[in-house]
Amino acid sequence: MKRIVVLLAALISIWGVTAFAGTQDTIINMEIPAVLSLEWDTNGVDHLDLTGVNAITLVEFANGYKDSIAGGNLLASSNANYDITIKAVDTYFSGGSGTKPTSDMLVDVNSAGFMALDGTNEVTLVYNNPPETNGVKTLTYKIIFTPNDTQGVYFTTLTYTIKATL
Amino acid sequence: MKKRLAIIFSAALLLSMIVLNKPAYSATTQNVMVYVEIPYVFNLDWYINGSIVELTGPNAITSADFLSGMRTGIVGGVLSATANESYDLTVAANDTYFKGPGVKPVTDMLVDIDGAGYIQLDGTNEVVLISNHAAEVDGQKTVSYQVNFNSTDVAGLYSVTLVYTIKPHI
Repeated sequence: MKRIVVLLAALISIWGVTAFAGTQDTIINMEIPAVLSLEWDTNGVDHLDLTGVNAITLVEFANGYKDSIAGGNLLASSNANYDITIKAVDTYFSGGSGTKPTSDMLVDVNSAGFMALDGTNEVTLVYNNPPETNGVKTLTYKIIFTPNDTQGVYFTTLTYTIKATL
Repeated sequence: MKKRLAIIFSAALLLSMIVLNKPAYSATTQNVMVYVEIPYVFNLDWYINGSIVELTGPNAITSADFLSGMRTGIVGGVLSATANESYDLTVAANDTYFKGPGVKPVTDMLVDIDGAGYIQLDGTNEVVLISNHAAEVDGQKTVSYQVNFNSTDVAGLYSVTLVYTIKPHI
C-alpha cells in the first residue's frame, strides 16, 4: 500500500511538472493614433480685448498700426511633422461703424515674423514642425489701421488649427 | 489557468492603452475672440509751427503794404490733420477786434489753406476753411494769411488769437 502511495505521488508530481513546463505567448496589439493636440498654455489668451483702457490710441492710429500685442502661448503636441494654421471667421470684422478687413490683422509665432490673415482662408503660421510634446508657440499680434477705419468696437474670431504636414 | 490569466492580462493591457491614448483626441483647434476699439480720431497738430505769426520789428507792416491796402502771402505754418471720418477745418478769432490802440476788426484778416483761396474771418464765429475732407492721416495743410489795411488803422501793435478746429463733417 505504501509503495502504491509513493508511486501515485510520483506520478502526480511528474504530471504537475509537465503541466507547468510549457510556454504561453501573449500577443500585444497596440495602436498609437495620430496625436495632434493644440491647447492654451496657462497664460493663453483666448479673449483679446483692445477696448476701454486698452483701446487704440491716437498715436497708434496715426502710426498706422498697433503691434507687440501679447497673445499668450499655445502648446502644440504631435507625433508627426505638423503645421499650425490660422483663419478668421469672416473676411471682415463684425461691429464697428465701417468695413475693416480681417487681413488688417497679423500674427507672429515665436518671433518668426508677422503674417497677415487671409480672411476665412487658412494661413500657415508654422510649417513642417518636427514632432514634439507641448511645444510652446508664443503669439503676438499686430493690427493695421487706415484712415478709413471709422470709430467703433470691431470684433472677430480667429481659429488656430494643428494638422499633420502633408 | 495561466492561459486565462494571460488573456485577462492582454485584455486589461488593451483597455489601459485605449484609456491612456485618450489625449490623442484632444482639441486640434483653439479660438481667439478679438475685440478692437477704434475711437473717433480728430487731431490737429502743427507740422511746421505756425503758432506765432510775428509781423512786428523787421517784419512790421511797411508803408508799401499799407498803401497797397494789404499784406498777403504771410507764411502761417503747416497744420497736420488726422481723422478717421470726413472732416471740416474751421477757424475763429477769440474776439471781434484785434487788441491794440485802434479799432481793427478781425474781419480784416483772411486765411488761405493750400492755395485754395483766401477766406475772411468772421470774428468769433467759426469760418469753414475745409469742408467734407476725406479721412486721412497727417494731412498737411499749408496756412497763409492776408491782412487788409485801411486809412483808419492807427499805428501800434495789434494782436489776436485764431483757433483752428478739426471736426466731423455734418
